[in-house]
Amino acid sequence: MEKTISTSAAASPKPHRYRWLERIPLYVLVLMFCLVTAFPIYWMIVSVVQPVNLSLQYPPPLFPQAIDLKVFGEIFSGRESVGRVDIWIGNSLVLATLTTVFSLVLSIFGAYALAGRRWRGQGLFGLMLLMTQMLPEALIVIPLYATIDQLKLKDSFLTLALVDTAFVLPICIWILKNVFDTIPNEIRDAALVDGCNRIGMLWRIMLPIAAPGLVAVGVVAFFHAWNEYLFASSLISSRTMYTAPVGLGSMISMIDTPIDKLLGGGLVFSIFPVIFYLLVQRYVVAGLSAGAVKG
Amino acid sequence: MTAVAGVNTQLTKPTARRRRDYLPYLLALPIIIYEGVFILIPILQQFFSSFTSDVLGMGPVRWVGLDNYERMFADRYFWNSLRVTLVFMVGTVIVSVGAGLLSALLLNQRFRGRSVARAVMTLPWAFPDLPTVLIFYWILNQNFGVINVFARFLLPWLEQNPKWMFDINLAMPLVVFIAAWKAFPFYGLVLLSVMQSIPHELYEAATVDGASRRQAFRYVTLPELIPTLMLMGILACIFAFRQFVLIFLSTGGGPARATETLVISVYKTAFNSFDFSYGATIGVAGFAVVFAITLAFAFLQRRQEAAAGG
Amino acid sequence: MSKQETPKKSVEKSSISRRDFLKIGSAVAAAGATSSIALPKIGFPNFIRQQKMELDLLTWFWTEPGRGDAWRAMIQKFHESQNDIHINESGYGENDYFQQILIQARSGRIDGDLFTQTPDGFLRLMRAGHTISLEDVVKNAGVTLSKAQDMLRKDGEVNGLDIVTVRFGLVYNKAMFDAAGVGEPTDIDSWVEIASTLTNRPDQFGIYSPHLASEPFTVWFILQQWAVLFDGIWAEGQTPLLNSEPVINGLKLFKTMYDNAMPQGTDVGTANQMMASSRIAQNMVVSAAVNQWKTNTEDPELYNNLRSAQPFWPGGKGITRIHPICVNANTEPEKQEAAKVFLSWLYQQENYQELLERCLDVIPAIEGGIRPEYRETLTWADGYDATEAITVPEVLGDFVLFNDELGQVVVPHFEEILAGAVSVEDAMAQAQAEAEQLAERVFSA
Repeated sequence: MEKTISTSAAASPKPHRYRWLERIPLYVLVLMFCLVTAFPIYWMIVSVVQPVNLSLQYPPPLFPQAIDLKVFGEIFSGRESVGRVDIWIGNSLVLATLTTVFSLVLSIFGAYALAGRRWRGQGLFGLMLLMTQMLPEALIVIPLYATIDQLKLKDSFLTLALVDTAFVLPICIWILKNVFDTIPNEIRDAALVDGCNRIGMLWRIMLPIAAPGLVAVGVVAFFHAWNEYLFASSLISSRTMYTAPVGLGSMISMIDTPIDKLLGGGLVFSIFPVIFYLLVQRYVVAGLSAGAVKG
Repeated sequence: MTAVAGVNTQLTKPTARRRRDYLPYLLALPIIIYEGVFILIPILQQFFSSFTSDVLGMGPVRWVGLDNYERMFADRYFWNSLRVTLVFMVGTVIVSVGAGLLSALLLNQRFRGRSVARAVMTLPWAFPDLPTVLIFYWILNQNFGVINVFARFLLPWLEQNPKWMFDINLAMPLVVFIAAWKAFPFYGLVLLSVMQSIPHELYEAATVDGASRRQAFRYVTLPELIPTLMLMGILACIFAFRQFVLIFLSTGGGPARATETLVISVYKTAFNSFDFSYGATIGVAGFAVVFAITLAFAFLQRRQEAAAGG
Repeated sequence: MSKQETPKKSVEKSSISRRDFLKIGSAVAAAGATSSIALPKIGFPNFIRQQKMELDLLTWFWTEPGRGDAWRAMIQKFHESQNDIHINESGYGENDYFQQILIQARSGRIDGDLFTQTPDGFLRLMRAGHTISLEDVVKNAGVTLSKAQDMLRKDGEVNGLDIVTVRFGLVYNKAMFDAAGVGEPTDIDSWVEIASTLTNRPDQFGIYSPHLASEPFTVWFILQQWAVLFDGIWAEGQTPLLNSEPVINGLKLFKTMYDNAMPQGTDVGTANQMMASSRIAQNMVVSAAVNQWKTNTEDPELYNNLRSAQPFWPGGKGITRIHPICVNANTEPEKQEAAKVFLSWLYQQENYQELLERCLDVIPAIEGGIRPEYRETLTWADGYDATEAITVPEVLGDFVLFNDELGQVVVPHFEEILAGAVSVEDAMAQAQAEAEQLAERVFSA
C-alpha cells in the first residue's frame, strides 16, 4: 500500500509495464471506496423504483426486477395527508438560500476581522466563535424557543435562517479566514498604498481572490440549512411551512408510511444538494485548498 | 477551531505602529451580538436552569442549588452516556479522519477517472442526514436488508441474520460507521487540498536526496499535513459530540442505552422526561467535557507549532 | 409573524366580547340541534361575517391516514355551516407531536387555539393549567358524557372532550388463520402455538408488536398491554410494580413471541405494510389502527378479513385510551369562545356520529354516539367490544402523570431482555429500583 502513497510529482524510474501492475492496489482501493460511498445511494434508488413487495423479501434482488414509479406520483401529489414533498423542498430551498446569504455576509465580516492585523480581544473573539461551534443544538432549543415565541417570530423562514446561520457561522468564518490568510500582505499593502481604503480593498481585491472560499462557505451553509431538523421542527408548526427534513420526519412518524415512500421522499430530498455539490465541486476543493495552506 | 487558528497564525510581522484601529471591532461586533443573542444568552439561561428544579407539571420553578449536580454524579446512566460519547467521539474521529486521509492520498494520485472517483468518493458529504439514516436503516434491516446478503456471503456460518442496529454490541460500531460515512469526505477534501498545495520542489529535493516514496511521505507530506490533521481532529470531535440526527433517528440511543450519547441523553431528559433542569445539567457537564478536549488540542497544537520553530 | 398579528388586530377592531361569542355558541348549538341551519341565517352582525376568526387546530391527526381525511371532511362541513370561524391545520407527526407540545408548554404557551392530546399528556397539561372548562360546550351540544370521561375532569368540570377512544385488542387476518387451519386462541398457550404455526420466515410471521429502540414511545404504549394480558398493572398509586408477576409474565410472553413469531427489527410502518399484504397474521394493537388497512392498502379483501379475537387472556381487559381535544387556556378569550363554538357544533349528536363513523371508531364518548346501523358494518369490532375497559390511570397509578418517564425506565431494560443479555427477572428488578427512585423524586415535590 505504501507504494500507492506516493506523490503525483515523483517520477518512477521503473519500466512502463511494472508501473501498471504497481497501480493495481490503487485501483482496488479506489474501487472499494467508491463502492462504500455509492452502494447505499444505488440501493436507495433500487428500492424506490421497484415495487415495494419486491423489496420486502429475502434475499432482496441486487438489481431491480421491475420498475414502478408510482411512488413519485404519490409523494408529489397524492393524498394530502401523505405530505407534499414538492412544497417542503420549495421551503427548504428558500431557507437554505437565506441561510447561505446571511452566512456569506457575516462570515466576510468575521473572517476579515480575524485575518487582519492583530487586535486586542482577537483571541477572545476566536474563542467565543469556537464555543458557539461546540454547543449542541439540543441544549439551546428550549430557551431559544421561549424567546422566539415571546417575540412572535415563530413560523418564519427568516427566523429559522437566522438561527441556522448562528450555528454554521463559526465554521464559515474559519474557512474564509484561512483563505484571507493566504493572500500575501504585499498585495494588501500595495492596495492600501494605492489609496484604497480597507473596505475597498476587501471588496475589490480580497473577495475576488477568495471567490472559491466563498463558494466553499456557501456550500457548507447550504448543506447545514438543508439538513437542520431540531430547530426547524420546533420553530415551524404550520404544515405548509415544513422544511423537507421536518416533512420527511413527519412521514417517518406516521404510522403507516411504507419504506418505499420514505426512501422516495429521501431520494428527491437528496437530489438538490447532490446536484449543487457536483456543480460547484471544483471550486469547493479550490476554496478549501486556498484555506488549508496555513492550516 | 477559529480560535485555534486565530490564536496561532503568525499574521503580519510587526510593522510600523499605527494609530488605534477600530475596524476589527466594528466587524466583530455584529457577530458577537448575533451569536450572543442566538447562542450565548440561551446557553447562559440553561446554565442557570441547571441550579433549579424545572419539571413540567411539577409546580413552579424553584432554586435547588447543586441538587441536580449531586443527582448527576450518582446517576449511572450519566456515566454511561459520558462513556458512550467518548467511544463515539474517538471512533468517529479515527474512522472519519482516517478514511478522509486515505481517500485524500488516493485522490492525490494521477489515475484515469480521477475526477469521477473524486465526485463519487465525496458524494456522502452532499447527501443529507435524513436520507442517510433512512437508507442505512433499510440496508441494515434484519429481515430484508441487503447487508444480510453480503454478511452471509462473507460469513457463511451465520445461522440467523444479525440484529444489526438493534444488537447491543453492533449498534455502536454501525452508528460510528454511518456518521463517518457522512463526515469523511469533508476531511478528505480539506486534506486533499493541503496535499495539492505542497510545493513540488520539496519532493524534487527529497528525490534528489535519494528518499524513497515512503520516506517522501514520511518527511515531506506528513509534516505538512499534521497541523491540518489536528484541526480536523478537533472539528471531528466537536461534530461527533454534537451529532444528534443520525443517532436519534437510527437507534434512538438504544438498544439498552448502547448509543445514548450525552446529547441524546440531554434531549431525552428534557423532551421525553420533561425534566428541563436536569437536562440542562447534563448539557453543562457535556459542554465542560468537550471544552476541555478542545483546549487540550489547542494546547498541543500550540506546542507543536512552537516546536516546529515558530 | 404578520400572520399571527392580523387576526388579533381584527379582533380588536371589531371588539367582539366574550359574551357575544358565548351567545354565538349557544345560537349555533341551538340552530344545529334543530336543523343544522347555516350560521349567517340567524343574522349576525356584519362585522363578524366580514372578518373570519382564524383558529389553529393542533393535532397529529392530519398525518394519520383515514383519520386525517375524516377530520378534513368534518371541518369542511363546519366551514360550510357558518361563515365566521375558519379552522386551520396545524401540528406535527405522531412521534414528534408530544415533545413539540411540551416544548411549547414549557415556554409558557401552547401554540394552537385547540389541541388534541393523549390521556397522560392531557392530564399533565390540565394539571399545568393549559386547559379550560368545557362544561358549557357539553351543555350547548345537549349531550351526556359517558362515565369513562370523568377522567377528563378537574374540580368536577370537564376540561377535554374525547374525540377518539381506542382500546387494545388482538387483530388477526382470518384468511391466514383459515389457510393455516387454526382458530382463535383460547388461552395464552394456544396463542403462542398459533403464532408459531403461522410463522414461516421470512415470508410470513405469526404476530407483530413494536420493539424497536428507535420508536420508544410506541413500544412503551403497546408494551403496557402485555402486562394487562396477565391481569396486571404497572403501578398502583405511587408504588411501581415493575417486577410483579403479571408484568414479568407479560414480558416473558413478549420475548417468546419475539423469538418465535415476530419479524424482528421491523418498524411499525413496514410491519403495517406487511400486515396489509397478508404477511403478518396478528397484531396486538389499538382499535383505531384498523383504519389504515381500509384506506391504504392494495388488497381490497384484507379489510374484510380482519377480526379481533374474543378476549382469551386472564381478566380479559384491554387498555382503553381516551384522547381529548382541548381549548388552549392561554389563547385570546375571543378565540377560546370561537373554539367552543366549533366544539359545540362537533359534539352535537349527529356530527359526533358522523365523525366517529368517518374515523371508523367504535367507542363513543357520549350516550347514543354510535348508530347501531353503523356498528353492524364493522366486522372486526366484536372482540374489542367484548374486551373489558381498563383506563390508563388504572394501569399506571399516579405514574400516569409521569408516563413517559416510566417508559424511559422500562424500555431500555426491555431492550436488554429482547437482546437476551439478562433475564427478565433481573432486568425488571433493576427497573423497579429505578422506578422507585423516580417515584421518590417526582412524588416528593
